Amino acid sequence: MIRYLLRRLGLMIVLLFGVSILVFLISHLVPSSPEAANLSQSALNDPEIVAAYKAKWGLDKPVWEQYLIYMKNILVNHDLGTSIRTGRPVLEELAQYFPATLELSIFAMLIAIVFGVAFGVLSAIFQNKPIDQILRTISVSGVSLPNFWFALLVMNLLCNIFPIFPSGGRYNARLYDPASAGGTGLYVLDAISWGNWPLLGDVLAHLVLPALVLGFFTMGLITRQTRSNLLEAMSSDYIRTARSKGMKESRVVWRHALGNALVPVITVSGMGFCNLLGGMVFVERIFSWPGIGQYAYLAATNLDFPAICGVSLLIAVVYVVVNLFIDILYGIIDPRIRYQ
Amino acid sequence: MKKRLSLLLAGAMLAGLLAGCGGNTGNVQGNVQGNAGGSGEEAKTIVIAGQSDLVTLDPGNMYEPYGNMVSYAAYDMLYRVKSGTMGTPEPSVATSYEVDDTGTIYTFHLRDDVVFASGNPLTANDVVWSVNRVLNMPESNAYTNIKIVDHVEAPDEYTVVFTLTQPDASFLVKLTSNAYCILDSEVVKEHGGSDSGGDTAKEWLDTTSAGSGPYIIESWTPKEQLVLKKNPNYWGEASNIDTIIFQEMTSVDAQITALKNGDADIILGLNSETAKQLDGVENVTVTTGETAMMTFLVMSRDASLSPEMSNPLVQEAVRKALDYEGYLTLGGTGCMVPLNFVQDGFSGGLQRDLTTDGQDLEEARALMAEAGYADGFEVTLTCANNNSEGLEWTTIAQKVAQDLAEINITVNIETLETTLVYEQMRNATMPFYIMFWSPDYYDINNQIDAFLPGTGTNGTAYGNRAKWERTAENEALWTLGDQVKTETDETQRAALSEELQQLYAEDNPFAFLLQHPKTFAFRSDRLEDVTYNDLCKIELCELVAK
Amino acid sequence: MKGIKDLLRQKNFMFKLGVVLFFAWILVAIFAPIIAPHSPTEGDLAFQYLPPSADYWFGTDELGRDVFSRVLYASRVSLTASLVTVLISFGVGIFFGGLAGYIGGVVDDVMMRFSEMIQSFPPLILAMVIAAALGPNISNSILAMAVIWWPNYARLTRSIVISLKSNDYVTASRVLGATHTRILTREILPNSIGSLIVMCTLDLGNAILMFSGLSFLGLGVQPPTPEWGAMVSDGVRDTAKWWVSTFPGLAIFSVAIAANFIGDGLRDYLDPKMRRTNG
Repeated sequence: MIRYLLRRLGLMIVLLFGVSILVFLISHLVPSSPEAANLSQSALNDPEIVAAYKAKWGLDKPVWEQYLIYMKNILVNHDLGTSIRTGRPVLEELAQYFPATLELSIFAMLIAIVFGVAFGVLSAIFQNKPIDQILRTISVSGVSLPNFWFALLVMNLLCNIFPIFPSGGRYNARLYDPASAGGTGLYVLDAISWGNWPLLGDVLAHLVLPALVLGFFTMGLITRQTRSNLLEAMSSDYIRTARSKGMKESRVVWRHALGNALVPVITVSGMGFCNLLGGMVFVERIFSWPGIGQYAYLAATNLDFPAICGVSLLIAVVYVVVNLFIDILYGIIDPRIRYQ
Repeated sequence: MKKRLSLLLAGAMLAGLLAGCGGNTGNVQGNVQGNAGGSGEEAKTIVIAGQSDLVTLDPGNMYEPYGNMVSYAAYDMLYRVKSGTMGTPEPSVATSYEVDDTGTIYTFHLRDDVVFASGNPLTANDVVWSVNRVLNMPESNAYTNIKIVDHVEAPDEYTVVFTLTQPDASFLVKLTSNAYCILDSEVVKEHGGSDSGGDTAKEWLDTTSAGSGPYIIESWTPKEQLVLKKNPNYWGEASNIDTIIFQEMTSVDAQITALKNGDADIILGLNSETAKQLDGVENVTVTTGETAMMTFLVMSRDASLSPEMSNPLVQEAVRKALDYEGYLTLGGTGCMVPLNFVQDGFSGGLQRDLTTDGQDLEEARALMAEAGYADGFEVTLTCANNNSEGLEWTTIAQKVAQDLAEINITVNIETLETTLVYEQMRNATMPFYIMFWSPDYYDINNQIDAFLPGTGTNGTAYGNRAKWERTAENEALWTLGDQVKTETDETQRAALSEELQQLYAEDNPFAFLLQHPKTFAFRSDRLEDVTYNDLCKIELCELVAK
Repeated sequence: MKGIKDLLRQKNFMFKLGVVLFFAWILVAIFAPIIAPHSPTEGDLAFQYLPPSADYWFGTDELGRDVFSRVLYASRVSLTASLVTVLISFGVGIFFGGLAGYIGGVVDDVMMRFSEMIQSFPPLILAMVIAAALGPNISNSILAMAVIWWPNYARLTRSIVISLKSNDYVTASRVLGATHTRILTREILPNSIGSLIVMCTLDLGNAILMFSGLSFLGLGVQPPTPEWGAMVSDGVRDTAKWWVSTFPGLAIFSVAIAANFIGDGLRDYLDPKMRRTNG
């Protein structure tokens, strides 16, 4: 187990190095100049300003040298560089936007897992009954809905036509100021720990719709997986044995079949989580959610190299850690898996 | 059994935690207002929702369009823009000024009752220090507006003397921009400020302010929100608003909902089409402000890019073929079609007369035939993923393509990221593209330097970007332009400006499509009125709560 | 042929619905010029933002163009782009995956590390970065998507190849002196094609979603060419004009769901165990 973990960690580091090279190369392929994007039109008129700007950001050096400087800064100074677009340290910006994304994705995952497993179980129990057909349609819709469109639809319906939920942002600005309040940046957690219930209600109201839209795809995946696994498990020999012993059907499902059926669901959840990080780009844009997705979009379209590299590395780290976590969880739950 | 026990324990701990928190609800953490102390009047908070482009709050570094909204609230300048005008200067910290005969030495007389939020008095030394700070930051975007200053001195505590590198009729207008904000030199020096290069105060000034304006920057979470608090030491008439919050909201829908349900008091992201959603909503007022933002087409004179498009006859044909009424429909209420490079609001700005000088396809076709292209040609129109006050350029591009098809020009649209378009613009490698322009300071001089033939070198202004050379034939434009630039009599200047525009209309490589309005809305049950000027956007200092 | 007949004879309503929907869209794509009542690119500003009516079934957009005609025409770009993406990834994937699985050793290691590297990004974000860096147009977004997708096929092919390699009939043919190429193309690939096709079909749905997503972000098709994702983004500016975004969104949804129905049906058919449980 320890050896396996060490090996995985070693691979993880190699992988992250690879990712950093890959992203660095991609983001430097472009024949474009960040100074044109980030200086005013009249500042560009001034060769003096342009030269000062290029020197400041190391834009006048060859790519490989820029990469070495970049890696040295990360490893030695723990500095991801400064965003060309905003002029702020990338690390600071990621620290600001990441909690928003984390909070949203945790809630989306919660929704996806809770409803996904419940729907999957119901679907399997009532196999081929109307309720199964309905739930299967919902789950297949989940994986077929373009989430930018779904987000728009949901927002238009529940925020504009029936104004039930607030349609953007994380909180009502009259209730809360994140900069002066301190806290973790996970507002739900903050609100609970401060016992500030009106804030909690407000934050949750802002969270529901984006989390729902974001989790819908993963929910579809989990429903499908749970259903087919459960059906398979219920037709397996040991369940048949249990049934033949006269065990109650509900007990068969809950105690025996479900346990086995849920193991692969964990893997699917991992896949779903990654998909979620991509869907974030759309959902955050439409619901004005100040998170990593919007940051990644702005960084990519403005060709803000340090920001692109920083955000890609962060996402890669999250991805790799989540997958490692899932693999370990998998091993703990299902002793048949051997770490090689 | 073990499991149950641990569950019980966890439950007990959670309950204890909640109880502990519940104990101090008297001072609920995380709330914005200090609850106004519970006595007297209720604290007034105004929420503005919009999408700003703020990347810094340091007036010495900002150039973003929304920068001056903040700098005007937190700082003062010697002269400021008069409310509701396009760049008209009026006295602020200075009461008056004199200029010498050479037009290069300006002497300003300061008020003696101005104090900073810290309580320090504002003196001429602070002005000199603040100007020198920016003069020594050549990599700053604010530097452009200040580099006309050669040096600045303070002969006494309330007099400041600027010496310019050359005469400039627009100096007073430049003086109203953020580059000339007066900082509390004592305080800023403590946080890394320097008037001789190597300034490191930007980071600190991004989190707070050190000025004498009616508000103090309380906190800033970029792309999330900015909180301004009333300055208790304000030297002028105090506002009745305690807190102003600018909340970033990328989606217009979110803004509209927030305004409808009262979460926001002012929203900025509207255009005339989306504003229709607020028709008939109670207690909501929709209004527009005039901006100096123009959208136009650039047709390069460089024959190697497109031998057809670079032909002056073809360029005139394009101007004749454009359906200006159509662009007005797309731009919406409040849009105007400028005759050419001078916006309405600037000295002598003229508009295109659409009855006599609008779309004329027959003349356009005749011009095409005269140029030898009666059968048309193909050209690429480059279009950045950008918009002018909510009007997408891709929409404009598709309309242009449709218009020019009428005179047999086949337009292929190429959309690119804005950054890439800027790069190509500087290298002057595009035959035909859409651009917008918003001046760096609100004076016609800025327009002349940007749009006359031969302006700029290496693609730094539109003359050069369009490869429109300065020649003996168009020298008359510059003769007039130079007169406008230095003429100080306003009537005289306007007449010269009109003459210049008429001459310009005869031949130029641009097609000016629209001058855009800013559409915004506010809650009339919470605010008296909301005023706009294009430099500051929403005039925060003028807001009065109900 | 018999296989296909078998497949269609199955009592799987959703599979049939998927097939019908999908072929309907292909017909629409081919015959768009005949079916469409208006021009997809030319509009009249006098008819700006008309709600759905008898003349304009899906209403009109900001430039007064008929949304219905645009939705029909857009099927051409969207379907072609997704098909091409899947085909490229499929080709590249089975080539490298087959190679890695068959040769094994260092080649396998390097290949797998590289594909892991690509897969450690959420697909959309990597595609966005590549498409933005290369400049937005159809071929660049197809390229960006193919770069992300091929590792899926490579890994699947590899695992199938490895499991088949130890199979009796492969061992037997090797003993009989068959060449590597022969074993790969005659034995291994035909046996793995089933699961690969299922994957392709399901991916077609994902490709449509991602391609329209890139266009939605302004990283895909050039105007005035109609494309569903770009049309949805036209509607974002003003959601009160709901028809501008709703119909193209429905089109994306219908193609994606058809691909999923077909993929599921195929999988059930190819995997008898699943057939029993899915009924």
